[in-house]
Amino acid sequence: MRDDETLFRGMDARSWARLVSLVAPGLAPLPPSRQVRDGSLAGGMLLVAHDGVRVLKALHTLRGVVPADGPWEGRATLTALAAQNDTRFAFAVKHDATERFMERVGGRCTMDDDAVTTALMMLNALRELMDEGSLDVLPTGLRSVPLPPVEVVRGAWDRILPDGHAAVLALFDGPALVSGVALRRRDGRVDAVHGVESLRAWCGPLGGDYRRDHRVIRAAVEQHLGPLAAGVFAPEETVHRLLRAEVPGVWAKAVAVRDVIVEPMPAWAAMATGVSAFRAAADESRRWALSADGWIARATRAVSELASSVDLESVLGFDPLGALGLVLRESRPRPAPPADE
Amino acid sequence: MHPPIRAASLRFTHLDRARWPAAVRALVALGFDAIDLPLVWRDYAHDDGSPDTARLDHDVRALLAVVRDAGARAVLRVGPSPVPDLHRLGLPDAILNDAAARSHTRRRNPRWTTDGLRMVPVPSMRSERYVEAASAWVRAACAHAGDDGVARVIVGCGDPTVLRDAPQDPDCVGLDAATADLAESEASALATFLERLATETGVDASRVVLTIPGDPLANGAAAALAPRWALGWAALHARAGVRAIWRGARLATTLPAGHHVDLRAGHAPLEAPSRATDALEVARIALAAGVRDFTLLHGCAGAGWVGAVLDDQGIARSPAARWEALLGWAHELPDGRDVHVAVPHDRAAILRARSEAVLGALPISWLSRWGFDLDDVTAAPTGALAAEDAAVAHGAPWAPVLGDAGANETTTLTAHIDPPGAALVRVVEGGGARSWVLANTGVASVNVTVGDQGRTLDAGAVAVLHEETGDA
Repeated sequence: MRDDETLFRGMDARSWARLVSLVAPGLAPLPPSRQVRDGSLAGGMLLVAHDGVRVLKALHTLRGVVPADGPWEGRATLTALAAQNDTRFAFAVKHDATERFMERVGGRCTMDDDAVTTALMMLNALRELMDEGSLDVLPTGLRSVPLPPVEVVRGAWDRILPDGHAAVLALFDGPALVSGVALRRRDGRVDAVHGVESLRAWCGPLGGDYRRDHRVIRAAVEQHLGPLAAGVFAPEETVHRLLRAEVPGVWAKAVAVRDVIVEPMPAWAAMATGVSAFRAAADESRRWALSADGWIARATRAVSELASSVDLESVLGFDPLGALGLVLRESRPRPAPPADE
Repeated sequence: MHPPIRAASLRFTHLDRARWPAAVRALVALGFDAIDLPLVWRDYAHDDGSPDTARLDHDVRALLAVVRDAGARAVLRVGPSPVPDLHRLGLPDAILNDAAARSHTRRRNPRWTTDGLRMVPVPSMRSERYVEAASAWVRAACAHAGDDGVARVIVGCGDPTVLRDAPQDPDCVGLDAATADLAESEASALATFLERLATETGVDASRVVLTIPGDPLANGAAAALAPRWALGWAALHARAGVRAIWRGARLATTLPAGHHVDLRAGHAPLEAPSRATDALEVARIALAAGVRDFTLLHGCAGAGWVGAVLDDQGIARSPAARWEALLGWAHELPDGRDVHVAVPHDRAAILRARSEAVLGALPISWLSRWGFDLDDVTAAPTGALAAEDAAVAHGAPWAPVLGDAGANETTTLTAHIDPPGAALVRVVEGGGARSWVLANTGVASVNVTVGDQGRTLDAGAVAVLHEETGDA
């Protein structure tokens, strides 16, 4: 392994598939025999090509080419086609949009761009195409997710994983460590990513209770990768549920009752979960205050409004869990793994 | 007919040198008869991009000895960009940073492609600087290709690491009246580049495989090269479905000069995830469709890959036993002459369809991962899908044919399939027997009758029927 390459190690296909499909259920693997274009699978994504005047072609990732012609009338046409094909995720691409995208990327990329700069540059190019009408996307919420400046993302990254530190996510299914990842940042970039095979090898046999095993895992990761900046240890099902929750304060509550162990708890996470818990409590108080009057009610409403203005976004500069939750709540459920796995 | 090659790849630069012999022996013990050795230019380059021949020679000699000692043959995969899991396309920085070696868009911006979470400039196959440097690399990498233990030399870019089907792909120029001519020109550039590298290997043409990135049925260069060279490409991802995987693998059996198909055990870390059970199913379908020469990527990756057959220390993971069983099953598949109703894809039709692809720069190789065919995305379908549909609906053995070679073979052989078209059929004749290989492409069971034999196939199942001797 040489130069600035990231080292990926200890990744078996099953645990990695579980981890990825937790945050991207649309990428959950299915066997070829399940990939039949008869509409029997829920979800999927629709891709509509048009020339600004007429619809040229529509491709559905689970149904193949689907009938679509007639005039192109902007978002209304895309919404109607998505509804016809029972999907909530759809892209409309003007025939020259991809070439425009490649021209913009070509004019802006440099060899020295890091992953953050590259990702934001590409997202900005896509946003420009949306503004021009060359690209449209459903659900509409994705269009309004704010793109933070590079400095904000880099600053957040510095807080989440300081240089020279490691982070770990370990997910359990009952007593078994079934999925996870440990990574280390060094010289400003992630230089090592380890899967669950490495974690198992470093830890040896575990007791089967994540509320105790987290200490063993933390010690093992610190021994092999360096000081831990943050560690999250939880049942896979709990994380799956929390990522989709809309109610404020669920992460804070889960941490408070130790459904999720965050160890060590970085300052930004302590602040975010604290604010989140406070906000959840304030929401409860507000409901009570709405039926009351006088000084207590006015004070409670003021505190509640203050609480609603601060959250993970105010700590990190943007809210990655919010954007992820928006997508996950629209996604199909994660398919069950095959019985013989 | 040459003996089949059942290779597993060894990403030896990611593995401790002391573990090479054990890893090779472990793969041979699973039933692989060849070891595919990807030689990555970036790993053996001086600062100016020229090959470090001393180190390369040292490693290749040692590896060939290890493979020979294990009783296997070697496959040398020299690229450039030989496999999908490469950092910076596997090319030296001196090449990537050289403006004279870069490919450009219509407005003269550099073309970029993804490199993990970053971007990397795409070199141009028309660049004299790049062609000369790549030729020098291939010459150096093939210094031992004449060795008796080397069964194949694979040249060209591997499974589409690039955004487009090929760096000079006509797709990226968008839609205008000139694209038909341009498509022809670009396909010629790719074919010329690959043939130049093939001659630099210095080995007999019958042992060279040229890798076609993306869907070969959408690639004009593939149609031009197929009559003279064995072609290699990647089997489709599990999400493409049984039919598309079978179709791509079946195409391989019709190539006049031979084939080499890359199967997958696992994937690069930033690719869509795939389970071992899905990879095994893809391999089963491809082998049933008639693939004889293949490499399993990766048998042992060391690092940088999710789900190789052997783990990072060269020790078998739990799915290894299933791969061993699959190879044993493949040995029992019928071997002989394939009977087919050919569906030709001539070069002119491919180029015409590509130039009218309605999705502009969206790569057909990317769309093919979801099983989309060139006919799906073009305003001027070649009609191949309709012909295939007709053959399948009648239960006839069919196969696409690249280029104009291989005139339609007329046959009256048909299987009775209920419901019609729900299974794909392959017929093999040899040794006085006729065998039928069938694959169910639907989600429901299918009843198949051949002569006086009947069989029910579950969803995704593959079965073999012998007309004279009964069910295998």
